[in-house]
Amino acid sequence: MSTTALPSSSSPGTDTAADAVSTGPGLAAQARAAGALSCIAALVHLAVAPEHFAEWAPAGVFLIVVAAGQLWLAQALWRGLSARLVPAAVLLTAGLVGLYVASRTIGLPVHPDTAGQGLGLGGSHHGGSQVPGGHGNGMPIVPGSGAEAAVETVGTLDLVCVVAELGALALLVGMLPVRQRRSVGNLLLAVGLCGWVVWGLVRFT
Amino acid sequence: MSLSRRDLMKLGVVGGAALALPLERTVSAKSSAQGRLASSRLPRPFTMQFRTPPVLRPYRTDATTDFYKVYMKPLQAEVVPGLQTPLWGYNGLVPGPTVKVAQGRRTVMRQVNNLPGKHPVLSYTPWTSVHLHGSPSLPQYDGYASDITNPGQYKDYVYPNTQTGRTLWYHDHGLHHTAENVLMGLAAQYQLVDPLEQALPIPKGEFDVPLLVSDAMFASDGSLYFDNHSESGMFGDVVLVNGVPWPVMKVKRRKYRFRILNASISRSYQWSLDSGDPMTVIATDAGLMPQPQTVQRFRHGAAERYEVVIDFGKMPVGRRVVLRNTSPKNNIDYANTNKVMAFDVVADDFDRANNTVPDALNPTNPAMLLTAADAVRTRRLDLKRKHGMWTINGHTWDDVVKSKFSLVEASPREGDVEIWEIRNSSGGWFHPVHIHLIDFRILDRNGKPPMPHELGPKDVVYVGENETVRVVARFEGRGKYMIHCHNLVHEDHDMMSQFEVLADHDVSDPMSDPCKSLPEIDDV
Repeated sequence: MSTTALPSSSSPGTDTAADAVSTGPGLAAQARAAGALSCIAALVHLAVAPEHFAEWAPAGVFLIVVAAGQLWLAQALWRGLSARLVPAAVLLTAGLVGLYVASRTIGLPVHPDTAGQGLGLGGSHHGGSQVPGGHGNGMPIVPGSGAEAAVETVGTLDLVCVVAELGALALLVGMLPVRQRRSVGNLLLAVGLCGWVVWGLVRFT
Repeated sequence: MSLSRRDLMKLGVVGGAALALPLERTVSAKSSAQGRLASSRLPRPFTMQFRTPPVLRPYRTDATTDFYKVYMKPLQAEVVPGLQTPLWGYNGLVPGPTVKVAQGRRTVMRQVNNLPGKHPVLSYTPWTSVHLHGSPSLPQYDGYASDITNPGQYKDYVYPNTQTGRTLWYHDHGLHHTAENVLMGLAAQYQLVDPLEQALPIPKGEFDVPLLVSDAMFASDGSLYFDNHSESGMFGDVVLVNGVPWPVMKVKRRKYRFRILNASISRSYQWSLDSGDPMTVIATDAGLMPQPQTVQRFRHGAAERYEVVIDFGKMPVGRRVVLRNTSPKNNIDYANTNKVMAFDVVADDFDRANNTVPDALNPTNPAMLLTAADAVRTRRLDLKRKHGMWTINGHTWDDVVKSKFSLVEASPREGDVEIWEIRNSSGGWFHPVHIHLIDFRILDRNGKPPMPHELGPKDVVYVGENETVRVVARFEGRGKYMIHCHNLVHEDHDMMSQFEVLADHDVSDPMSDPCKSLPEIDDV
């Protein structure tokens, strides 16, 4: 079994301390742990793919592609991922977490229930205005849904998946060179703070 | 791990946001939604008295026709003791008044939409379209989903009543919100009697009892609770018979005929008696069976009608018999949805006439004489969920509308006999399929004979999980008629299409006699 591949040296003329790679006896275990967590997230995505496929086929296909990507990442981390791929893995995992948060807070613009919004069809998958002689809007709006119908609710599997992805993200960030780790950490901090600020504005204004 | 404390704090901020914000959004969405009434607030089964809806009288008659007026209007009802539930009823009644007509006499039924401009909870405009289910009405009087009547408008529906005696029902069929309108109360029985049925010694009068079975869920303020489970179905935790939760009915020691209509939005039932006694099925959707069928239990999908005779004659006074529901799969069940109503046997004296079930009922029903060999062609209807929509052969009612109502799944010529093979390839759903206009006979289900209780003329067929059902019918009538799943949530979203019976002349358009605006004018 190979071990985790790491950058072999710093580039000439760079700050050696800042560019120093993460090293240490626990690094291989860290990579494997990240791989295991990525595998858990992939399995959750695979488990929910059929029901999403039945509801809206593109969503099911997307989840299968995501699961395949995470399974590949998991085996790569287990075998010893090239250090050059760690930033991409961080990006992928952070992106999935971001997508999850968006789908559970503001809704995704590609959800089938919102696909008609740009066409003036009231967010319905029916032609809302195509009722000859109809007065007003005949589409029932269930309280608590309405325009937010595309926002999914959080379930147990969602929590399992996002916790696994956050754990994998933390481990992957920890595998980055110090300078990259600092930049990525600052970026994630900024994104997190923005999220809290937007939530506060929506919640309290 | 090679993360500093500072790194961990940064990750904690983003991780906390990723975990907390979606959770907070879910909790706040739930709190802004209707609060469901706690099960502890629901009435205990068999504590409320059974009742039957009143019979509607015509306001005018002439030599050939009975004229009725029905006003759809809001009402407040105490369905759950101590709570007021806003409902909509035909003439302010839930269920609506029963109409009883004789074969051969025409009916003109004026339906006036006096509903409010907006639904009190769901905010939609409640346009309506009234369908008399089981009637070969002309297309413009069949309750075509897009032939709507807005609040402040009315329409006169004409019913020929030429078919064999049967239990029909009138209910809303308005586009996009049929499920909600029916759940609000727009449903009632319509009984057509013919000389054959009158001549049979089966139970009549007070022993011929309508049972309109439905289910509902309530919000904590008493209003109906709406949850269509991602457009898959509405399932209540309260079973209502004629609008009363789990009622108890006093019965005399003799036979009773029960006209059971499953008026639930989505739920199917499997009936049985807790005493283990059998039930004798004497009629199906389109009237009397050729021979009665004695069963211990039977499956009953939405919109189907089964007439059963239960014999309380051998039961001791004081005995309570419970009509139970062993729920078919893919319903959502609650603590007491396994019970429906109770019968308490009493010692009262009773009329001993019409207290038998003969061995032959209607052996010459035309629909039941059809065989596969009579068919000139076979057509297939595939029931599928596609891209989140319920479809028939891949089509929805939206497709029909977009085609300017030209899209049809079938176009038999008038008088043709056809086999329709209806296929549900899903294991996750069942579909009670209703074909308007016609009566049909079920030929087989997955290649096997129909169940005993289905051996009568039908207009709805239960197409269960992974089932293929073949039916045979003669297409008498002309014009366009709907085919749809009678899980009304499926129908609304959007498992409905149409067929057209072709004829050389005199074909009516379903939209050819639109509603009129109030005030009413007596021009019929």
